Amino acid sequence: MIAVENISAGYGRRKVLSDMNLLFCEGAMTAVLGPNGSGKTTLVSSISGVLNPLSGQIKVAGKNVRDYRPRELAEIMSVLPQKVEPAFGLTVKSMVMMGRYAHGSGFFGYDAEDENICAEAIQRVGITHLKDRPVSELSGGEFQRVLMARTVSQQSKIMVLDEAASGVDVAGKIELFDMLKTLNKQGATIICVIHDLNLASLYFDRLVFLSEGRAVLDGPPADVITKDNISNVYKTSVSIVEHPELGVPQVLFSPSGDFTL
Amino acid sequence: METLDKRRVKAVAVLLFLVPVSIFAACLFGAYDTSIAQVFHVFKSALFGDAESTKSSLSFIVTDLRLSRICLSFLVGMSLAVAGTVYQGILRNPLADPFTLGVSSGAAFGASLAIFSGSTVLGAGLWLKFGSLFLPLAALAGAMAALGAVLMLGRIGGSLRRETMVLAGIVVATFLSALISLLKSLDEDSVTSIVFWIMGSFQGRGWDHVALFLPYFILGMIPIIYYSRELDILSLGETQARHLGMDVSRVRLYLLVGSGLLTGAAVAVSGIIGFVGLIVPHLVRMFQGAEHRPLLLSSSLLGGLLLVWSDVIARSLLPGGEELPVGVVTALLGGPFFCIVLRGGFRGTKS
Repeated sequence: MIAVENISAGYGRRKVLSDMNLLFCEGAMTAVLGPNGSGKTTLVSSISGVLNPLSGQIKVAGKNVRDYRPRELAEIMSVLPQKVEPAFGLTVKSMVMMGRYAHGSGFFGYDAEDENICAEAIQRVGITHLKDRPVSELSGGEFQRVLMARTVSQQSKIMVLDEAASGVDVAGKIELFDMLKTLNKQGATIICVIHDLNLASLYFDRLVFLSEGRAVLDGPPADVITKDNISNVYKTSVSIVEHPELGVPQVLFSPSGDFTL
Repeated sequence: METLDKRRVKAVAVLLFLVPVSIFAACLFGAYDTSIAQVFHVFKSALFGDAESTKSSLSFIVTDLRLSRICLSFLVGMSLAVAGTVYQGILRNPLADPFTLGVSSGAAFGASLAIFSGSTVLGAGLWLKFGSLFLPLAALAGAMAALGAVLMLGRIGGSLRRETMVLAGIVVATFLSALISLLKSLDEDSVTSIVFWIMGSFQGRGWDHVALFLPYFILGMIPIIYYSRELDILSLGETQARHLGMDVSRVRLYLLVGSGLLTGAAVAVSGIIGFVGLIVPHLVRMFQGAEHRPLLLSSSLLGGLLLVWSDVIARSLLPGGEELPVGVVTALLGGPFFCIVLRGGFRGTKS
């Protein structure tokens, strides 16, 4: 369980999150949404212990996240960061293997079990054909899958994903979120920053909308995705329809200008 | 296409073959003409303990003058290449190496300052006896201080950008070189010539220097070998390394101290030799990929070989037994290469 308690966080003098309280229960699959600059990534950085909050604390399994040793934390929580630039041309396999670092046995590195776990993770996200390629040669979407494979190979109970599927094509997104849903059914607690309202509505049990550093909406898709709510949060007009097969709400956008075709 | 693993094995095999061949071949060059047969004879009698011929003047020239110098240049080349690989990995900067970051100049300044103050305070005799043992430590302190200054300067105006960092390195290096010149002019009788510090040279170096260098070399290599796997993760940046469970500040500190020791010791025995730490990791990465364990191994061997041959050129290019500083040779080779890297020719190593 992750408890966000009275968190205010920011960079330098700029405060991005203010007095936020959130609870992520074990085994839940939660989406964090909101417009650009609403504090999603700051929330992820705080939860993953990288950013020291200005006030308040975040407790992971009852212990302040800042009090964990890095390796200890990585064993229970994996993080897929946003905007990663591969500095050098490491191979896909090496990148995925890094997910096993926290489980590693020191200098002699990765054993046969780690190899198997990575091979499985690589297969699971569908990049087996890329495994010996340098990541610097991959497309954005392919690289995103590599990061996903690394996160999977970490085998932690909590997964925090910041725009996991950005740059991935539509079919790929469905594949990745299917996989996340499966992992969730197997017991993983998932917190995922996502921009796509419709995908969020299809896959997640709970949606949290941030706006200007506060959690303004919180609940299951059917409750929070309404015309008024979404129009307010994103400051744009929308229509809500019901998914013809699944019955969950889906959001349709309309151009705000007065265009004639 | 052959796999990277195969390429790595091939590279190491070729390099390991070239090392003894080069060491032998490099012994042939020098002011005094020696034939292959003569050098071979000296090696044979040295290896099989033929006491008579190890005392000959030929044997003295080959083993004490040439072989010692070749061994030292090989070790220094290894150190510079390894330090360059580490800096490039930690700072995620393909232009980083001990020279471009100003670390070498810092080390040279630390060493000059130690010589200057040491010989003034202790007296020249006493200093020569004991002080030079600690020269690499003074160089290390200078190296770390320079690196700290460069990192601070590079952060001015927000985030650490690679162009800014190299610019900061050049500023620090130039400033420190000026300070070294100042120290030299304050103390005319110092043992080493200014060219030695500024351009680097192995002139007159022998087994003493190898013995002085070796402990620091081993001490510096230990953390780098131990944390070689971590370098891969660090090359993705601090945040990701944290996410993956690494104690970033500790690992980075050990790696920086390790490469600082290597740079400090290298500068203490041979002055500032540029570009080896820049070129070598690039060439190796282009050939066999960016994973740091095989990269460090191949880079160290290639760095050693490059410096051995640069030194051969340095001591045999000019007629009449005069020597070029070896730093001139590496700079002549490295300058154009640096331009290619700066112009974006490092696509293979960066996205």
